[in-house]
Amino acid sequence: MPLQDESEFEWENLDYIEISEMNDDERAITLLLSKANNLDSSVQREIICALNYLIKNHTNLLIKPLSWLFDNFHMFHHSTIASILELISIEIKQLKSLLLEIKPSIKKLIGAQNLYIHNEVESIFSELSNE
Amino acid sequence: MDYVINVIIRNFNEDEFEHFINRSNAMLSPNTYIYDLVFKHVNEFLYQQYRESVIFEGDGKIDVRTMIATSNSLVNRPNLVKPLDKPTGFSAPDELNDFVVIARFERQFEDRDYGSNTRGNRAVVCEGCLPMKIKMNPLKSFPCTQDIWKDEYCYGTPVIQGFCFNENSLEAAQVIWMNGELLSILGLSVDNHDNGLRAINENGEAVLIYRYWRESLIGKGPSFVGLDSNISKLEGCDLILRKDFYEKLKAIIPDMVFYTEII
Repeated sequence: MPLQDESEFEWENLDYIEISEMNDDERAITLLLSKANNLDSSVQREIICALNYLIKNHTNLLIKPLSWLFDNFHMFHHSTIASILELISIEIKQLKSLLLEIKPSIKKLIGAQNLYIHNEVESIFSELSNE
Repeated sequence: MDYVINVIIRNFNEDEFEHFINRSNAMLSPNTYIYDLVFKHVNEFLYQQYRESVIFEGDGKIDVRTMIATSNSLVNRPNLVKPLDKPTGFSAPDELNDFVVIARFERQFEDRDYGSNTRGNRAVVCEGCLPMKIKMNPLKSFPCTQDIWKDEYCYGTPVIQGFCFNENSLEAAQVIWMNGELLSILGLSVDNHDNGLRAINENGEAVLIYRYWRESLIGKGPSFVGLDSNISKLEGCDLILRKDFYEKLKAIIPDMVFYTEII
């Protein structure tokens, strides 16, 4: 998968504590997510596929990276956030416990003031309350 | 709407977009720059103005299932005649082992040879099945790919296969899939997207398979050399159907022909 190193992700603007509390696997996933910022079509799609694989096989590893992504949503492109929410929506059954854990981070996405993202967040929350 | 268009134009950053322009080949490396710009500003506008009244469905939704299924269908390029060597016209479809290639889309380009005439260094092949003998591009419909997962692809249209092309988008780049009505008549159902884009029969055997390939990146072969170079010289997809089901399809549509159009 081409993950070239040309993206200008501004790590220095982020709180380091969040990343320092992650294990190596979680940091690797965080690094993968940061690559979404270069807007190359195939890289965008491969990130979704990688997340799909992790959802199916290593769900727990996603808690901190996804929480980090949503806490720092202002650093990411709206279409990246929206496609990740869309992936979460179709796999919501096996993600319920993870989503309940990172609910406060997901709630922050309302701040994007983007209707697609807003509707996705509402639909995820309504699905979570249907327990 | 004028307001949104103006906001999009105002926020278009030429320097950022420039990263994806490959001048030596006069091509654009596939990217989501404009897709994202439009997505962001249209949805911000809708949030401000129509928060209570807009619901996204069908074509309005990002189709993550097809994105995953097509990525999981990546193969090495099959042994098919390259677009630059293929003529337009009716022919018998290619056969590979137990399968028949019922449709293909593929784009090829050769490096520019400066100092000589470079016209003719690009070709696109569009081939597929048509319900009757008529000279037309068999990959001309653009149905909603979300319908694949409801077995309703191309419903109500007289086509055997549908085709979608999303070059500079987040969505699956190239999709060919069979009309959902034909799929039902053949007794097939679409498999889980994690297994790639394919349909299985009642015994769980994959008999209709979509394949996608992307080879010979410009620059240094298979390695990635920059944001302006994620361009493949041979990129395409096809749809293969097991021979016994191809015979069934011919029995359902007796006048079916296979037509190749080179663009």
